[in-house]
Amino acid sequence: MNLLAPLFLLGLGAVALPLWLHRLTVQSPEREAFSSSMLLEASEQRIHLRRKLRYLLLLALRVSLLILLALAFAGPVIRFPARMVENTSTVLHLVVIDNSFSMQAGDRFSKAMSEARSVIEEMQPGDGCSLILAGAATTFLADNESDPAVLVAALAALEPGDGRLDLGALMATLDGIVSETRDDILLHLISDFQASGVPARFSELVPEQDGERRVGLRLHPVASGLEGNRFVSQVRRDQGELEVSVRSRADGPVEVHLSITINGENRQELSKTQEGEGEILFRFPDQAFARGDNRVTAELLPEDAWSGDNRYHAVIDNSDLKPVLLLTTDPSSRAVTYLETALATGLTDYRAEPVRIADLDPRILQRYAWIMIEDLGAVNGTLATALIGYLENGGAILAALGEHTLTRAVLPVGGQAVAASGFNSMVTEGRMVARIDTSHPVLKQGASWRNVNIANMFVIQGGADDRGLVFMDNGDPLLLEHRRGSGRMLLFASSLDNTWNDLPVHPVFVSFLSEAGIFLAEEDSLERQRLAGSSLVLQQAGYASGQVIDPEGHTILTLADTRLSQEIPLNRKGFYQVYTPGRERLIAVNTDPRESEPVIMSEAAMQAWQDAVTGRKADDSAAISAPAETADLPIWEWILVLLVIIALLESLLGNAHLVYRAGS
Amino acid sequence: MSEFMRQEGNPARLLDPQVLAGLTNLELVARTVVEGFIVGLHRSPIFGFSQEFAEYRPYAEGDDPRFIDWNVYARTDRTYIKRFQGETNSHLMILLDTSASMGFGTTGVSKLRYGQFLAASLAFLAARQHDAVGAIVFADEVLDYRPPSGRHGKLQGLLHCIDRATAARGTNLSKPFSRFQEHISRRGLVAVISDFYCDPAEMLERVRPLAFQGQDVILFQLLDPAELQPTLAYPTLLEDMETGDAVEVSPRFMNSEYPERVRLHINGLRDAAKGLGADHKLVNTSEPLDQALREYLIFRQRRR
Repeated sequence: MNLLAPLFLLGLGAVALPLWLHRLTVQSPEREAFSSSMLLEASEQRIHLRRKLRYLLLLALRVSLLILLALAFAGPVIRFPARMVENTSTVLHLVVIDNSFSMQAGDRFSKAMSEARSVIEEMQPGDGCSLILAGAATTFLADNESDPAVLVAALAALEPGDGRLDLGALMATLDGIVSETRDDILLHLISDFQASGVPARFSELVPEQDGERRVGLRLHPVASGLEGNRFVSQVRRDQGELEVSVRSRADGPVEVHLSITINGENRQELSKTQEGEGEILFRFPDQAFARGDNRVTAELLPEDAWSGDNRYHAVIDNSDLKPVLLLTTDPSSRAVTYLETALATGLTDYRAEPVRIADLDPRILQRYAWIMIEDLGAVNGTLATALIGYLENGGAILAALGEHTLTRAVLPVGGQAVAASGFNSMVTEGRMVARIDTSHPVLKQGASWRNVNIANMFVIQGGADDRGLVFMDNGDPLLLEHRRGSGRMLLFASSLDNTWNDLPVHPVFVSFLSEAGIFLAEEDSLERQRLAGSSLVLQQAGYASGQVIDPEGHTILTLADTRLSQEIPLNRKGFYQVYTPGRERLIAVNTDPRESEPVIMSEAAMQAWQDAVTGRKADDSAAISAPAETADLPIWEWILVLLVIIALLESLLGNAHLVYRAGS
Repeated sequence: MSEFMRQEGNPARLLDPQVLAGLTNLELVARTVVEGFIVGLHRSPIFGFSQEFAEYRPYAEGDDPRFIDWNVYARTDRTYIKRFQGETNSHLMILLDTSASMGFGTTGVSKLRYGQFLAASLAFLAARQHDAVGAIVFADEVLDYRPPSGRHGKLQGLLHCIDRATAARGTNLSKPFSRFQEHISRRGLVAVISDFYCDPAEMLERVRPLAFQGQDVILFQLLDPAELQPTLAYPTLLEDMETGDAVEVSPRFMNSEYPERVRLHINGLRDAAKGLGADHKLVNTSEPLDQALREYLIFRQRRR
């Protein structure tokens, strides 16, 4: 038996009190000489003997009472082998198994399985266990299950995925689980503990605790030392040339071979010597691409322990640039230059075709998905009528205002009224952008509009079909969306020649034009390069419905799901095919390059992590931070029960003794 | 002495043992008791006591010339010896128990002291009647032995023997009675003064030979009032004065059951004595000695 607070044994000194009192009592009775005990002997000696025994019993009870009291405070525990002790408090083991891409390296995942089975075997009777698979997503394999057989069965057929494990995000998820659990919790994290998975703030690794339960943490690292890795980090097209970056996290010069495959055709293979850590670039010139989406795969040799990241997938869109009609009074004006440059810089699918307004044949308007107008005030009546027809038939226009608008009281095409005519309509004092409707697709980066300096602008009074998107601090609209028929027009209330404002030379102008092109042409915003573990929402990408086929050729959505807005996980590396009405697009999914980083957390960092979690409960958490070979069974409750019984007996016996003493 | 002088006018008070305890000389105690007792007797219509004339007989050689009645000689010119009633040639043997239990007393006078008073008074009374008086002081052994003698000088020695006895040791009746049988063959009176904390059957066994020998035996059983009717308020540890054994007793027992036990014990002794033709007199040591002396005289008169 052990004592948790042996200092309380000093209380045993109190035993001297009843001993002393009894000694006094024994000595105190009147001892008188009597002539003869001859006539007393027959009855009183027996009574005296019985009374003496009762007296000793009373003394023994009182001494026992004090001994047990001191013992109860001393916190006695009986130490048993852990398996013999019945759990008085249930512990929930949260076994989290990392199945991120990095767990594919070597035998990490098989080690993780062994660790998980060990944890299950070491569970105490009555403990529960939740198995959680953590990668790009967190998946419950078993929830608070106490049957080891079920838990072991849940581990069967598990494989590492291609996603990334962010330890900070994982702990945030576990924090939610912990807060919903009433039992004591012992977290088992089985992972390779990549340094790239550690959040910037260490505190994000420590779950919040409310003090109602004990939370312990055990880390089960399965990565052994530093393992070198080389992987393809990027594939990029530059005109007819493909650039492939290979990053090395290994020592020593190694000759690496890189081959590219385009649409299943092995095109070219290059070899280079890589000197230690760093990045080398492979260039594959004069590559011919098919029109539309091309499947490009770069494969690195030789294979290493991290073979999964030696292959990189990319989608190269080889569609032709679509022309955008740019109506202007002067094709050599600065506004035209700014617009052409911004379209080219924004890597959009469009190129500007400047056409003088006077030379325009209105019949060609229908060829263009959308049209840009340098100065809407320069549009004459005939063209205005043609543009209105174009809009009503589903056309789209991005228009600005210029000097020609100064003579207008009503804007052509849209019919918006200009507040005053001539230069009186201009606002010349410095104004600031105050309100931006960032929910509009063309203003995704709308916050940057606040940095735009507006020197002159027209005060336009929009109609019922107009929606203000950007407003000045006095409430005047700077950017309007005008709807007509099934068409739409974006109207900028100033010029684009960098004279009345600096928007054309502001970075937001490029992104604005890109977004405006997508919006006006009703293009989709599908990202072609994704990371494993990300998700795709077709509706957010501009599709009303669609179907997705994974790299293995399996359709992901059921027929009913195709029209529902939902997240489609992109968990596997390779090419996903997205079918939408009238179009077929490709998405290349690769592993997060951070998963290819071989550096793992230091032992000191892991120890600090464990201490940060377990240290909150000081000694208490130590009990659940590691399963002990022996377990302490506290017995003070039983001592208290015995104490109460002895106290009752002492009262009864003491009372009888008092009756006797009183001579009644 | 001053106490004695103040009480002199009340003869009955003179026999109070507590008053007697103030006297240091046992002879004086005996004399006081007997004189006071005799004064009391003269007032009593029932009992008489004096040197009563019994008969005349012719003087024979060897008779003490002191007892010749010279008045008769003057009238008749013959020498006659005048004999009195008390002069019956009897002797008294006093057996005084000095065991430790006799040292018990709660009235200011222990049982032993009371027994000494009684023994001395009996001896003095007997001597006054010209009886030969002897004594055996005993406990578990015979501590002192004085053969019966009618001489006045012997009485002094006997009183001294009685006076110096102290309470100690245990009780053994067999030895004094055996000693008595060894030395006394003549018929007489035997007064045994003791608290008789013994088995009545054993006492019967010891006294029987004396009875068969023709001795007249009177047993004075001295008991303290606290032995007859104890009054305890609290449980008390009583220690046997002879054996040292301690017995814790409750007030309930001592106040109700114990007196009954004592009563049965006394009755047992009385019955045993009666069976042998002996007398048994219970003497409460808080009472004056005249009761005991009166008992003795009745006893002596009956035996004559």
